[in-house]
Amino acid sequence: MGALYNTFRDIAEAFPQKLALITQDEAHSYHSLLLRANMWADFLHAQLVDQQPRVSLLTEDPLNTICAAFGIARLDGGCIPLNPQLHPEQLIESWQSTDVNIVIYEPSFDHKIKACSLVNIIFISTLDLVHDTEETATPELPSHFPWSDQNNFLIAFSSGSTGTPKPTMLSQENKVKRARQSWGLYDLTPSDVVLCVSPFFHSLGQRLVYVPLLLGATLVFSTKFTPQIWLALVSEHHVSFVISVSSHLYALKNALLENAEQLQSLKTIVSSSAPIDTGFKKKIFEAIGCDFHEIYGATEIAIASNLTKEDAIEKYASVGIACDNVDVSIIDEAGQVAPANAIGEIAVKSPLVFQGYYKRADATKASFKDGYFLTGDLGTIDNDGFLYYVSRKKDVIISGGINIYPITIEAIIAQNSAVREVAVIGVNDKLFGEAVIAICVTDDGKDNAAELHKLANEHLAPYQCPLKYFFRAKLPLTSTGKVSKLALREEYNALNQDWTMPLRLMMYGE
Amino acid sequence: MTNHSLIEIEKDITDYIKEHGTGGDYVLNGSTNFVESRLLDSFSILNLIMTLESLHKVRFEAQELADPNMQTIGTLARTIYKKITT
Repeated sequence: MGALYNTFRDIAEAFPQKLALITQDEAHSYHSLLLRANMWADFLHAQLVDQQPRVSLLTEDPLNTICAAFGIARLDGGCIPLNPQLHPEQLIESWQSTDVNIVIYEPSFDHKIKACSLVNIIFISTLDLVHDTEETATPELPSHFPWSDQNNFLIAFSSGSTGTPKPTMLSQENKVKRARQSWGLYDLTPSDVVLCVSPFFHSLGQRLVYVPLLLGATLVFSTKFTPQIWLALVSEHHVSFVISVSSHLYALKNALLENAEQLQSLKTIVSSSAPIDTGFKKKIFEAIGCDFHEIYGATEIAIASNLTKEDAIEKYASVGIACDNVDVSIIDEAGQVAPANAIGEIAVKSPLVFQGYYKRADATKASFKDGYFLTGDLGTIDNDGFLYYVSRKKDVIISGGINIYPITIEAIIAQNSAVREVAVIGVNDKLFGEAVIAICVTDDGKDNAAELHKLANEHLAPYQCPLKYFFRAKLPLTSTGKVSKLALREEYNALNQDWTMPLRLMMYGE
Repeated sequence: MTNHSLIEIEKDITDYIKEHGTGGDYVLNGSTNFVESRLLDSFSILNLIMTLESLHKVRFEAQELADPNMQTIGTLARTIYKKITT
């Protein structure tokens, strides 16, 4: 059993009756979470006694997800949470690339499982745990396993610096140290109440689960987000700490300003996942009485910089200064450290760095230079040491805090027989940060957007489906003959007619 | 383009919700509110609207989308049907 499980067990034994988890329907003490985590450990160990359990989670319910993940940690197993919205072929590809041998799924995803008939994977419904453990007495689990030194507890898919999704390995010790970093940055204590409205397959969801539960604080977890739900949860449970992705903050904009009375319990709001525009950030800083932090980081390196409310008065366009023991540098195109205020790639040296990409030693090596992780993001550092995010070096689209890889979408659209060429890009969007659109070259300039919408709906998750399709005679090229997505982004940003407005109207009446 | 019947439009919307919904044994009918019931997440709702506009070559007006009744399968289908038949 590793550091994460041990820390959680110690906390659960120290605060057994304390409220650990509040969900939409129920409340659970630390004692009950530990019991259920141990049930999962017993159950999983019985499935594969002689192999490291490498368990993918296709779950949304926080109780299932959190307890299964701690159970996996108890066995020094691998935990690979995935977005249940992925199509069966995408799930299979992810499982195969991470050597998954067990999948835990909720009954609502039964149809996905039926479409994934892999013979070498054990599929376990969350209902099986209850049924089997009622009938089976299990022997005491060992504290050490033959695979315990592998340090590959949690795998999240991250783009890193190359723009293609890679399985990022984090050890149990990584997660504990990262939680400690957050406790220090935000002065968190066991009396805090932390709100999570991000799914566990997202690195932010993982952070918001472990930060409170390894500390003895209380976690309020909602699988859904609307401004109304968010406000109700903060008010009802006296939430003191939140980390929000930028799209949630935009959706909350009016609610935050109009409901200050309801938000008195909030000590700290942190903005994460995508930089929010400076004008909006300034308004938030002025309107909220609690601490407001913006951070810069990545799955591979954890939080690298932090902007406090005090610093934001002068440096509101910045994402802060480097955290303790973290070194942030800007690397120019020649691979040299850039002078102050010059734009270059953000490189980070951190004691919280990840364990590498799973079975991708070359990709891991290529992501580092002189001990610094190359983030693939462009930024600058000013004369006072404040970091400014500029843009992503590559073309990964971040929409609603989710990394979206254009190549996946382009491959599907290209299946349409009339499509000769396609480029998928993200255009600026005030709700999601970026919105996905596709620019196509078709036979005779044919506008077949309806066919392409249907094709995308059949093969892609909704967050990957382009909102709009555009048709043109040819795509702009760079001097080296590659499609210039930079030119496309400039052109289509200018055409943007607020394409996510229908959603805001429908959901928020805005 | 052949205009779809009201029943076909309603079926298209229902099929979409079944495919992209959050799962569970929901009984879907014309009065199902796919926003309030949280059957669809925000990406799925936006993608549904964009798909319907493209499929039926219609454009929803802001006041139509802001009407809470448009969150039901039946009203959404009837609004599209009215647009393509008048």
